[in-house]
Amino acid sequence: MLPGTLDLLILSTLESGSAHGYAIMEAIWSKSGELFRVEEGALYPALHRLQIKGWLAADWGISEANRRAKFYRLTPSGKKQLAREQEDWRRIALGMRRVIEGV
Amino acid sequence: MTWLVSLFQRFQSLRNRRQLDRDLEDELGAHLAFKQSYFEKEGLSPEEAVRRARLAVGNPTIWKESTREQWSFAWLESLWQDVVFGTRILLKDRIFTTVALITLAIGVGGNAAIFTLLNSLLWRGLPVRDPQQLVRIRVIHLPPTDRAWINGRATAPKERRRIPFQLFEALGKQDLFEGVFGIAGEDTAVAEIAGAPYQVRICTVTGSYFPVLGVEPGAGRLLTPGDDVAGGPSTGWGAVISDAMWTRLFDRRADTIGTRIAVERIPFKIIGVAPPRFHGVNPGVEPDMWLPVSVLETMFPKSHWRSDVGLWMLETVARLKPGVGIDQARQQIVSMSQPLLEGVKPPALRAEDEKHFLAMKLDLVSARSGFSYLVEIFSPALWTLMAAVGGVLLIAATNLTNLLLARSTARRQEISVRLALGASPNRIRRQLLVESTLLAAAGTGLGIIFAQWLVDALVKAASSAEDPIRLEAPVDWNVLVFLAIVLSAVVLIAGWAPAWSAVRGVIHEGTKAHAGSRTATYFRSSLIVVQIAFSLVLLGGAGLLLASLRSLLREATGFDTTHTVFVSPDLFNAGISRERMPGAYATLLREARQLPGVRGAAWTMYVPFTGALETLTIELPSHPEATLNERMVYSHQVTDGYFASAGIPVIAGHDFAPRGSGGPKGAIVSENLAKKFFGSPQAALGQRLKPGNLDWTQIVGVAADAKFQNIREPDPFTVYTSYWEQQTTLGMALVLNYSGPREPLVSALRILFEKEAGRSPFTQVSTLPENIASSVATERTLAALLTAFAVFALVIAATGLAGLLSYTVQVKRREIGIRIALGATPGLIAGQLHRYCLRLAVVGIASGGLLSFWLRRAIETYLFRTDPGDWIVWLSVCALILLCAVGAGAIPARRAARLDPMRVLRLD
Repeated sequence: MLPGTLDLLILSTLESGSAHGYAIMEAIWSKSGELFRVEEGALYPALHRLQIKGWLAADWGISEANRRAKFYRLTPSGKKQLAREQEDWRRIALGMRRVIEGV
Repeated sequence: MTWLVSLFQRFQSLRNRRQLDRDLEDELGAHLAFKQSYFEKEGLSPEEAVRRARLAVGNPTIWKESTREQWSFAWLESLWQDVVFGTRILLKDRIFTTVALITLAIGVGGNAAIFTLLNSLLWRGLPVRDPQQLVRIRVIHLPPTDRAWINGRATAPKERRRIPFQLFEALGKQDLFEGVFGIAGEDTAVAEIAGAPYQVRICTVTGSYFPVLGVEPGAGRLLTPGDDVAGGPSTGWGAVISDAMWTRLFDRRADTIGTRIAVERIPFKIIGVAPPRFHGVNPGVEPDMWLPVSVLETMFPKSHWRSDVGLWMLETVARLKPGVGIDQARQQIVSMSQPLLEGVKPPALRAEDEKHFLAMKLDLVSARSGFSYLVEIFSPALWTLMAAVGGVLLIAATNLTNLLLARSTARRQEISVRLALGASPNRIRRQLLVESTLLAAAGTGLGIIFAQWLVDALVKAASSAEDPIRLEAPVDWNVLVFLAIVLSAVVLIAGWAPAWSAVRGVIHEGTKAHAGSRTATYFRSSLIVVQIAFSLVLLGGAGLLLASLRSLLREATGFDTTHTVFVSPDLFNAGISRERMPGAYATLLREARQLPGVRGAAWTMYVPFTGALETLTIELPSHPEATLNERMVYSHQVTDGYFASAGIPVIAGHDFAPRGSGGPKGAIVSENLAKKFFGSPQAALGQRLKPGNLDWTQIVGVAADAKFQNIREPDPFTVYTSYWEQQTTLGMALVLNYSGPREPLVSALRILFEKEAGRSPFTQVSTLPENIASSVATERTLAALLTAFAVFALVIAATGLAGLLSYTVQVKRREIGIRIALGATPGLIAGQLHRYCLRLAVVGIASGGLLSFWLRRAIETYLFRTDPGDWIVWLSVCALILLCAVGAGAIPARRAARLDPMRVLRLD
């Protein structure tokens, strides 16, 4: 996984709605076609970092399995950040493809 | 803005540490539960699911830690940890910490104290409007014949600080300045307030003093030019009192303004109070009262300072116009010098004297911080002390370096364990630096307390009963910045090397056993050499000052010092008028001579060595070619019997005649004056001379030389005149030659004075040894302090040396053990250590000797009849250092010689 991409993955996962840490991990795993596996040691620090930056907000809620869990959701500034990062990523990916595959 | 939000969030989390930890715990719990139920769905047993979940998550502490770090100021927290850890370590190692703190406290305290004093004398701005615009007027390029005596050596003075009144008035008319004011002087006077007499310090100033300074009154109003007119304003003389005096004598009552008082029996009205922080423009002198300068004419009816251009009486300060810089103003005033001086040229100057007079230049220097006579007296001493305490601090800091280095060697094990547990070398370095910073900060704190004590002690030591020094020496920004610089210097010197070498030593341990300790030993022994060198310089300086003090105290004065006592009653303020004074003096003299135990008594103008001095220019018809300066002599008025009572032999001719005896009139001159102008005492008899404003007279006697103003100067050329003939002096002192106890004699005199005056006068009693001792108080204090600091430095150096040797023995114990096992005698082992010790001492002495040779000029000016190369002093200092070196080596050498080879080898 490219450095710096974890933030984008998390923000994208939360675009569709709030989720707790485990669910985010699962979602990245399944949506990436079981390519990206995020370690707990990286996920939780990242979640808290994004929260400090004000892009995520967190509330305690009850999960589908009836457990108390911390749910993360995008804040308005998080949504703006996501759009920015998606744009950046598209440009990088396009550039990479042009260079590597000569398209 | 995001960084602001995150900063806020972090601060929030700092406050809610517990809450954050609980949240993280819960989040981890939930995560594990999800993982576990996932594995259970896969078909694993609950126990197996828990195990697999834990395995998948890995070490939860690590990610909890890194998550928590997101929230906090990680470096701040780990710094806090370092501080807590460092404090604990320092508290545990009590002896080390105590020694380090004491050395630092003395080193820093000495520096802080001397700096505070220098600051308040030299750099603190006066509490007046725009002090940076104030300049002091001075006269430079003085005639080459001008002489000043410093420590018994004639030197050419650099400046005259006072100017004649007429020049002052001319300066006031220049449009270079916004305003000009003058100060005639500070003096002790007697003020009568509500019927009771008080001794107060008065400051006589021109009426422009307060307006030009721009000071606002604390109460009432301040002096103005309208208060300062010859003969006094029509409403009577006005006086301004200090805030301290308002509190002390008037309880800060509002009706103080308008109170009628008398100063030296002249009626005054208190017109106002100066603001609390204002103590005049001379730091060290805090006047109780400001009086207009014109009152001096009423106080001393015979002085003609307003018209006499030969009287340089006003210290003058000017305020530059806004926007005018000092350099610009200086250029202008220098170019105006000649016309201005032309206006105050003394009449009938010889051509050469006139040329020199007009060649003088007016100049100005900043008076932002005021100008104090204290600066001239004490600032060289303070600078010497500053250099000394700087050296002491350097020694204290290097000693701390040594202590820390030794400790980091001892802590090698702790450090290697921490490195092995994953602490980064930088973290350990930082922790060691935090430790030395803690030590330095605590030492500085103690040092500030010590400094306050030292400042008080120094001011007290420099004060005398006649000249009390009141100095406000607050800790201001200058002092704080200085302390911060000192603190960082100590940390830099003491903390850096140990922090680096500790970690390096441990890292290299595995590859090169003990090799690192060799460079460390070199470094440490060079530090010892530096300490010994500085100790030598300090001890040498202290020794020279002590030798100089001894020759000062042994200097022959010309007086009989053992059987004389000087008693000065203030008869004028006790009620005897000017007219009645000569009669009262005559009566009292007759009565005093009849007291039991009195062998001789006389009135004299001076109590020797209290600093009083009057000069006059004599005219000698026999020597028309003598220059003005050659004819400038000390003037002394005494009564008959003075020379016998003071123990000064009359070599030729005879003493003055008693009052009203009709005996021959005339003057008596000192032996050196007689020899210089007439060849011999006998030849001087009968020669005519005119002393200053007095009438022509002839020499009737020649007295042996005697010093009376300053013990450091050569025997002064003196002209004695008889009080009974001239009667120009108001306050006289009674000199008595007596045998038996002093106290009953003084009490008997007090009764006589009270009977004569109708009221008990203020009376001062002193003896010559007392006066000499207090006139050398500065030298004594300087010598005592320098000695104390030097001894302290030597003690530090000696303990440092002892520490280094113990360390060497510790490091080399294997080698020593093997050598003992191979048959080396204890004497051989101990001798080797002693030789090492002496070698360090000798190298230290040699480098210190070079340093002292280089510094010898700096101390020369403080020495009285003492050669900076005085071999007795230097030999004793070297012997003392060698003795200390041997002493410091004794215990480690003994320990080395007694090493048990078997135990040493088994331990390793």
